[in-house]
Amino acid sequence: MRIGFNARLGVAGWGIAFAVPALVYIMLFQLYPILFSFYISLHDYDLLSDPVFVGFKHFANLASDRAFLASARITIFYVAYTIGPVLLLSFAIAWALTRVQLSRPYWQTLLFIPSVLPIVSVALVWKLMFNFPGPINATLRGLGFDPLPWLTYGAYAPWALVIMSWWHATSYYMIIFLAGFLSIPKDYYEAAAIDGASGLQVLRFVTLPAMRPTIALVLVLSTVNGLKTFAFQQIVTDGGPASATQIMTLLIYKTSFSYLDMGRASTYSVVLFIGIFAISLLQIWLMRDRHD
Amino acid sequence: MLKIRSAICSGVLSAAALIAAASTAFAVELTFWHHTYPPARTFIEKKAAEFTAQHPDITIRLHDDPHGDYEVKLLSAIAAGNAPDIVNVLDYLFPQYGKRGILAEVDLSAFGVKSAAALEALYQPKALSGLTIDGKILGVPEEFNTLALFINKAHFKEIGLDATDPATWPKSWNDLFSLASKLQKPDNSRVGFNWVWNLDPYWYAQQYWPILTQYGCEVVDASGKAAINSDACVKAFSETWKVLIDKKLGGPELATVNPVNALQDFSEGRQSMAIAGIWAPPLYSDAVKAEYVVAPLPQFDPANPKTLLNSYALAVTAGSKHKKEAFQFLSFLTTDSDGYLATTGYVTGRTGWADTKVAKETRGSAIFAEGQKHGSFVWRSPTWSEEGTAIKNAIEQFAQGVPVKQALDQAAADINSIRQR
Repeated sequence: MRIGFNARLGVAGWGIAFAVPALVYIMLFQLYPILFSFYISLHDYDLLSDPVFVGFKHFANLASDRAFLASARITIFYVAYTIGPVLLLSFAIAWALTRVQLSRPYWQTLLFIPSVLPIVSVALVWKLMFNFPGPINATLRGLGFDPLPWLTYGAYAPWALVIMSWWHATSYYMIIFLAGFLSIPKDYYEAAAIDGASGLQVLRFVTLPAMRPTIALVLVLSTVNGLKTFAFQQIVTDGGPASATQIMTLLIYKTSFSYLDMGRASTYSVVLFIGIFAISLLQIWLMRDRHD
Repeated sequence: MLKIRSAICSGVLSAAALIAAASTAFAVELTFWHHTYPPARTFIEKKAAEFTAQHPDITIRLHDDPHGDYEVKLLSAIAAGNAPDIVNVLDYLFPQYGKRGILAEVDLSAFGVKSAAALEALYQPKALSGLTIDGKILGVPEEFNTLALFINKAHFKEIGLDATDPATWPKSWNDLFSLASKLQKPDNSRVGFNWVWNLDPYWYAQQYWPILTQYGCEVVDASGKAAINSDACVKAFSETWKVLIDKKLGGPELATVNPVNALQDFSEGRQSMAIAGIWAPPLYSDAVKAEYVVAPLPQFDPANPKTLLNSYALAVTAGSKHKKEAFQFLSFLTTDSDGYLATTGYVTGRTGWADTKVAKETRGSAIFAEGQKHGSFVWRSPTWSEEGTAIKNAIEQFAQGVPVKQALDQAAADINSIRQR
């Protein structure tokens, strides 16, 4: 009895001991900055002087803040046009990989490479590729089309960034989908085959329902990552031309460190945080399993 | 006897320990942050070693970061209360830094003078004006620049012109565009002239500021209201920046964008003429280094020339505990104008810099010295970065076909909104 009692105490003690460092880390580096952002959003603060309380002034100004509204529109455009193709492509490639019997690990590794490459290098390579005299325009010329000013015209630059993101993000979500596919019991497919289900019926009634939690996860992750994206826009276009690719995170960065307006930047951050939180909850709710 | 020896030994050791402790207590290490430019690092380190040889109790620790990252890191350090002693700051940031009390007023005694006027006399006229806020001189130039036109004489030769003959130099913007049209290759593998595109707002400002002043355009009027959409400004941009785009002589799609070398196309022989400073040649390829000629900046009215002044300055932070020593080092460092020019290509703006042997051996120095006389600093504002971005956006808008007036109206609205905020 005594040994059991001590063991129970020991388990709890060790549990707390192991959890404390992680909790301290989360409090210091995640919770505190979030709360501090809320606090600063209610102040005028230039990093160098003491914060001055201004209430909800920055929030009230948002409706007439042209930079914020443009940035919100650009961010929504970017996320909307990135998620759909990335989901479809990663789903299709992962499904195709489940059909590959020969050397599947090698194909997986090859297709996963874009995700493990440093994003700065990837962005610089894409920048060179989209340059006016670059290989993409050379290909267009070779096919008889006019070259396009991909990175210097507001009509094309957002699309160039969307295309880069398709390439970069697909491989990451493909691996998640692949894990989802491989976790579906083979019995389901064998039963469907015995019942004479067509390929489309198998997809509709077996694969998609079984993949619902994975699809929900990828949808939430890709939306959150899309809303938080920064590196491509900063490195490839720095938000230009004429702010046509200035997504919310880049606007927050510039407002903070170039314009020294931490109050306004924190307000943008709070709005982005609330947006991400709400969209994630909505997606999880929409994708929930209604049979539970 | 043994006791006496022991006592002497202990005494000597104690004295040595005391001296060591005292010298440690009085030793000063100055932290010096600079934007990354390898020749400058070499030069500053050499001068720091010389300074320490003269003042063994003062050492200098130099740290550099690329321009852009540098400014962000510096602000973070200042905000965190870890400001370095000496900083390298672009002139347009002085109102922003000055307003917030980040920089210390220059210690005149370190420069061996007793009044601000005497300090100003050590420099070219106007050299300190861009670094003076509310009557206080907050820094000294490390670079005191103006811009001129660089010409590739081999390209000129191909169209039958001798670029070493001043008669062939473009005097007006129309002359420049006319020459650019002749120098351009049909497949655009070479352009005659182009602006620097898609870099930070200050890069744009360096190029349009002389043009705006030549046309009598003001970014903001005397009352502080935006005037960038005035008739003079619309005319200035329409007759210069826009012409180049409309005639398909240049534009963003014909420019290689490289934040590390904004002049890459000229540097590699793909552009025949470029606007740049005396600091630019170290960036050029060997082939272009052998071929460049420096000409004065084209003018709207050649009889009444107007150019840009800019300064990457050195200052001491208000929070430094070693201001006296820091200013002593700055005085020591910037006095060596010839060393700076020979090693880094920087003009310190000291009086008579252009009259030395080193300056006379530097190509174009006389043209830069003349240009300094007709220059002015970009407009002063604590919200310059945001206002500069508004004008950059306007330029990128009309480069895409938006009418110049419409783009500048938007910039003016943005500037007014920034100032009201």
